[in-house]
Amino acid sequence: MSGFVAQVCGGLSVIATFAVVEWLARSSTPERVFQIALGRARTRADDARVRRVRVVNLACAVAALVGVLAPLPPGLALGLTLGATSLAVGWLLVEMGLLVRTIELEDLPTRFAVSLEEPPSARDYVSMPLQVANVLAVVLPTIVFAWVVRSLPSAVPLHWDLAGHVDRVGPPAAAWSLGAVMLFDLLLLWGIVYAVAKERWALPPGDASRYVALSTERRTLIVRLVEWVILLANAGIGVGWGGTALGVAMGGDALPGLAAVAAVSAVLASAACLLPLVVYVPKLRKVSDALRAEAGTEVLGTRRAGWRWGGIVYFAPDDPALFVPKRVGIGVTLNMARPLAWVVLGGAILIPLVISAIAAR
Amino acid sequence: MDLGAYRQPGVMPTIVLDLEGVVPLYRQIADGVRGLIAGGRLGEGDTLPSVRKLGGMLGVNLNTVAKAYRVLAEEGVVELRHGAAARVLAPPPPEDARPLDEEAARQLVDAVGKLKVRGASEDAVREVFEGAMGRFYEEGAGR
Repeated sequence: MSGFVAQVCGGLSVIATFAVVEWLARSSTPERVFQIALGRARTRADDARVRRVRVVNLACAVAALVGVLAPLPPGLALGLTLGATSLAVGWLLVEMGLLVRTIELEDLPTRFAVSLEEPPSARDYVSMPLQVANVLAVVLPTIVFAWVVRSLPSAVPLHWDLAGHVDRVGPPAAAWSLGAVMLFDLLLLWGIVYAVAKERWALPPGDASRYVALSTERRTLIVRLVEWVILLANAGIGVGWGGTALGVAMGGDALPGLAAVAAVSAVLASAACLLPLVVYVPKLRKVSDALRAEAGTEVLGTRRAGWRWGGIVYFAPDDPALFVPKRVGIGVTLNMARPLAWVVLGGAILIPLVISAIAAR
Repeated sequence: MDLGAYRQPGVMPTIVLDLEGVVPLYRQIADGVRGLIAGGRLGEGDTLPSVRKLGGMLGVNLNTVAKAYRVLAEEGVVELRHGAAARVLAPPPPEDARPLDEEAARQLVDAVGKLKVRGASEDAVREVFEGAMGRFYEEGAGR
């Protein structure tokens, strides 16, 4: 693979990371910073936080691009690029963590209604075309790889450095780990859809029709966001995996086709980071604000005492729910007082680690 | 997406809970189910959600739901069947022009007395009472 394509791919990843952080910082409003509802007036300290994140992010992006583009020794280039992008994201996360400690949580109503009717099920939230696309994104590259894997030489390039040189060679079967990653992504998608459908479903007392509509829209948007992220991410991996295997099987690693495959793969992966966020997060924010206006909170039916650490963690032994809506931020969270919550969390962290450990052997 | 009953306000059979209310949770649940039956949302032969299911929906301990169901069974409102869903029983035939029995009358009088002592105005009590009469006694109530 040519150094130029490697630079394009590396550059795209750097720009995508920069864009996500920059977008999160710039999308702040008087009520929300980094998309987190403040529950109080925005202060100068908040503005300074946003400014710091943007300055650090810009500096890190420049440093990371130097790592990608400048003629540095490969080890130094990789260290600079990875170090700078990690610093940008890490800095944002730390600032978000510190911000959460200063927000004022809404007063949680203790009165709520529960319907005896069956709540909408997972099927009501998913988009069938996107589900089919998600399955195909895993199945098609798997078929392609399974088809060409036997015709591959016993040692194939498994990884390229930033300059485009092969830096890891191994048996072609090692690339099955990419299939495992995609399968994990797909299971993660279905896990999230299940969690969204099983989330605590409580309504405000009285006429709840508007709340029901908003609540359903919130869940649909979360599912749609995850469907797109996983589809694009898996399409990125799949094109890289199946495409590279095809390219190597058809003759060496210097084909222009291989470079195109890598570029498409990187574009898809970058899109996975950026597009769904830019499209769906603002919609989710609007629905979330409307839900708060309608019922005072998005976490109706949860226990006030269960929300710890500024509302980030839910630990309520007297609540049988496993999944509840997040009180801070967007999405679903676990009731950590349920032993099953630790199994779910452990699985979500351990499985990718096991896959990378096996792949790295 | 078909949300059925969720789309129509007032059609959903709901139970209102107050996690920090003075009334114990099992009584709030029993009152809620009884209200649905009295209002015609649940009728004879309808089944109630299982204890586990209702506990999960309400976010309360299973024992609390089981206790609420036992209270309703003792009142003769529902029938608990081993290994099957609890079922709403037929209400006793209305006893025309007969006065309330002593216990029932005492409960109603006590309730009004409690409100008076807590400073509720006559109009406010009358409004709620008439609302309840309309909800439970008028033709087609709750349907």
